[in-house]
Amino acid sequence: MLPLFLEKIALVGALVHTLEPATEPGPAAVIIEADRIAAVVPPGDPSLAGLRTIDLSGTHLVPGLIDAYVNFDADHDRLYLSHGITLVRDVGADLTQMIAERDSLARNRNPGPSLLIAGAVLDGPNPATRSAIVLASREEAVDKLSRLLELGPIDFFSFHLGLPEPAWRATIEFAHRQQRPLQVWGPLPRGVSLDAALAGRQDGLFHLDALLPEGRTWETVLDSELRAVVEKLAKSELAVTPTLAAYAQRLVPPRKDLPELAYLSPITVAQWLGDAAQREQLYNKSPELLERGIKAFARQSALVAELHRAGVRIVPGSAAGQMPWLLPGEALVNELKLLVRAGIPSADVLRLATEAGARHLGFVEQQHGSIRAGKTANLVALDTDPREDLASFARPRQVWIRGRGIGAAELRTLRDSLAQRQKELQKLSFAPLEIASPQLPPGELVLSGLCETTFANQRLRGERWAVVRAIDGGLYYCARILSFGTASTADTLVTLQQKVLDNQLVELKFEVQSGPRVVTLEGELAAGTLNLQQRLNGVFQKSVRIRERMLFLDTGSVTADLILGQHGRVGAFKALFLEDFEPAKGDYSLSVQPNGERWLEAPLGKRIVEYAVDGSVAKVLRQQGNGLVLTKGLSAEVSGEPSARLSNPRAAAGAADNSKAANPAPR
Amino acid sequence: MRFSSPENEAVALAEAGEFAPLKIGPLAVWPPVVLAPMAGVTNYPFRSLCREYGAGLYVSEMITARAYLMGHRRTLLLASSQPDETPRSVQIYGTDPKDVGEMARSLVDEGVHHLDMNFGCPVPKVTRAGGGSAIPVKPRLLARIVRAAVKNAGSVPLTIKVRKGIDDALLTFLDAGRVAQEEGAAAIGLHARTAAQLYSGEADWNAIGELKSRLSIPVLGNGDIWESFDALRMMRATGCDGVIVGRGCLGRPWLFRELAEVFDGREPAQPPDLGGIVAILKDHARRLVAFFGEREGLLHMRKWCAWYTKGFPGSASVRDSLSRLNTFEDLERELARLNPREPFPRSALRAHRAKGSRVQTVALPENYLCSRDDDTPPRSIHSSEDLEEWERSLSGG
Repeated sequence: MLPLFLEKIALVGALVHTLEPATEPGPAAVIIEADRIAAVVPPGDPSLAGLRTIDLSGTHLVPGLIDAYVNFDADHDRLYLSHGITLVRDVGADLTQMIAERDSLARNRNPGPSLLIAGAVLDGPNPATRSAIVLASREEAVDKLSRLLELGPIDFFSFHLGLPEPAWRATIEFAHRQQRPLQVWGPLPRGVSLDAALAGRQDGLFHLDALLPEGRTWETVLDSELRAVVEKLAKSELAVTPTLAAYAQRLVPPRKDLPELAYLSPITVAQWLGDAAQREQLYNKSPELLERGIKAFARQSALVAELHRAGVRIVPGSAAGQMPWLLPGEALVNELKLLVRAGIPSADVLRLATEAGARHLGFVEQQHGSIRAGKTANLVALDTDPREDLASFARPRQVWIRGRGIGAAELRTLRDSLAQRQKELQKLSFAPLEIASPQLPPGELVLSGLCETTFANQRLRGERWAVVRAIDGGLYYCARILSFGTASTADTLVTLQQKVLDNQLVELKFEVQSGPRVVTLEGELAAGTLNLQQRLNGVFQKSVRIRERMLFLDTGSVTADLILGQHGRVGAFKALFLEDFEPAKGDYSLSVQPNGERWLEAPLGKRIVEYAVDGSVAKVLRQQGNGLVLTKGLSAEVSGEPSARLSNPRAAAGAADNSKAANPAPR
Repeated sequence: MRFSSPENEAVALAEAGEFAPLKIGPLAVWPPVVLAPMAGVTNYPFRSLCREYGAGLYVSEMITARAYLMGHRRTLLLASSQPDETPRSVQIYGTDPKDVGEMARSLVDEGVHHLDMNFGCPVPKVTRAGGGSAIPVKPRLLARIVRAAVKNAGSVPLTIKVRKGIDDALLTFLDAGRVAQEEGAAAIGLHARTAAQLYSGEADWNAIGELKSRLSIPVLGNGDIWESFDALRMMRATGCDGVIVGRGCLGRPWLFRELAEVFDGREPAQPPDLGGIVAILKDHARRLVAFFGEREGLLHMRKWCAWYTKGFPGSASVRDSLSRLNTFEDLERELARLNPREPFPRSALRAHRAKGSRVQTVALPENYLCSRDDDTPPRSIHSSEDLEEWERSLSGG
């Protein structure tokens, strides 16, 4: 490990590529103070006297790379750093987590690249991802975006193509109006043409597909049409993240025996292997698809080179973390190599991924992109000249991240320990679940059990739950839910207690620990209003009053499904769910199948619930991306007086069931 | 003739095979000596100096988990080491099982060989918040924290260090020992004083013996090891498996050489004279400056100068100017005024260094004793401002 310093240090002996405009690489010393570049001075400058020095003779010192398009995952931190990437831009994920992660103090714990965040991705009704913020209209856009900014600073807005045109327009106006103007990036929203996007001043486009004229494919588009696109863009300030590597990875057989898979979470690996199998099938069935993909890629590459020649802003990004078979870190280096292969000179590509990239991302250039006094000390020492060979970013000699130096050996150790953790996680997924019983309120325990939730055969969480009948006849549904962490994040414990009386949620206690934050939501029904108090780390935040009848709080806990089995009526109803720990009222709709299954339409997606005769949940199926999340009842135990037991949800559904008589519905 | 204080004149040297190496998980420590974690003291420069004199396990100063996890720069520096340090040992301080687990995990990733946890800190700011020596008052909370640390440490051994208790009316060490053993700690260290005693009075070695008789995991004794012979006496009197040396080595890193000698059955060499001490002092100063930089390193050096010269007649005036030094030249100039041939005074052997004879009433959170069965962690620091204040209140403490 390179030593940590409290005082100034000087990196000396390297050929310094500052990437500052109109400067050539040359010998220089870079002085670092805390997490900043304090100065760049000639070798032997008097200001170097008495400073501690790090000798970088024989290396090329360059600013760290920017990956302008990733889906952040703390597991990937070490992989980005190992490829000289010191700034990544997340295009939208779980907002709370992202804000916590972005805090540089939190980021330092496990040295990772600096982070730019979009918070949550913006989308229209029926969002493509769970964590998206839905902006259905102009009004909703202005309202929700202001509140989004109140939650914590974010660096740009990012949207899915379902964002309605008026909301898209409002988002851009809102973003550009901020004191520190924010950029807006996305594909082309449905129904918005490239001309409209240019006129509407969208700042950036993800993926080249957005440049295809309406109705054209990469096979049918005419050269003249692409030329027209290039000319249009050349006159605009619109930036493009082409993601060539993302297109290219579909055209080579997935490397299923790749040693680097060891760095990824077991779930990611399972998803990637699933994708590989699907793809194999597809190409076996229709080999011409591969042929067409290769031809399309040739045109995409040519287009990127044309765009660059015409002066269009190209900001390299990898789409790592979003698409399978794009290894974080390596994918960006591949992207840069593909840009070179498309015909852009190496020196230009280096600039695109550093100085120009930072400039085209707006205010980012004040901190990143070049070696200049005052900027963040994010630097990379390479063994070869990056103007000739960008591949050496895959094995940097040293990486300086916010002033902390990490050598090649230490990067290796960090990667090895990551692989070790992933291996342990995989084993852990098959170990018996150990979760303590939830605290029970006064009353008679009638049913309790344990269930687990898996995705791609990996355990996501386990839950121990219990149902207690209160003196007043109401039912308490209690649970402790342990969500398993990743190699980089700790386990999370949620405790939940909801009381239902007369088919209505009358009391709620919810606590979740997320990073350094403990959020609690507690309250009960009084005079027809559910008064909930929200606390953060024990400090009162606000109260929320809910006047409509709610059936339950839906947080992924099986308690909601237990309630549904006992109190759910066919048709529409309302229930609470959490949007970034904010309670929100959701529209639900329930249908019951002849076999007793409940099909539930919920704001966070559909699900199918299957019950056992004792009222416990046998199975819940949810769709997530292209996979299924399965919650399975592992055990259930009936207790207490027979008269106090739960009703049989299967019988209640009218399905033929012998146990109906044995389990009289108490109410 | 032996150079010792009267109580140690007749102490027999260790017989071959009389003591076994201290087993801490996979580590076998010989001589069975551990350098106590001391805030503002057991940083890498001092540890590296001690290691050159002897052998044993040298633990870092206490590193607050929250500060470490939040990337506090100085905290990361204090937790850091150099490749030459094997085994590398870090003491964790934390009250939240989640933080402690995360930190243990991260240190294991960095290649640490031993982890220790501090449940003996008597600082009012710490105990008032329900931390430090207040934690063993709630054995279930202690268990949760130790469990989280052990689980995340994996194959790296984790030990805990406790005091006898809050005060004589509230002793916690036996419960803490039981918890440590049950939760998989590799050993327990006992500072045989209560938090109320701070560093005053005599350490109660009987308590060490009592703890040893109750446990099957190794027990380390801590308190009043001023001379190497004290370690032999403590181990013989209590049956403990090893000793923890705290203030006795301040300004006397050669104590570790003496410890190695007596455990190997050899009569220790004479301590250095003032000239020899000046040479060690300069070496120490260079190490501090290399690690912290000149300004900060020399700030550290001020207290070390007082400890190194403690008990030498006529050193008081120099000590006074040494406590104001700013540059390495200041240091050299002042040291040149000392008489290099002045022998080490026997009276300085047991002269207490750092922390006086003060006692305190331990501050606990309100109604703390009403809920001893509770296992809820006290609130930990969340903002960087709180963190700065916290680190300030502990530094040099």
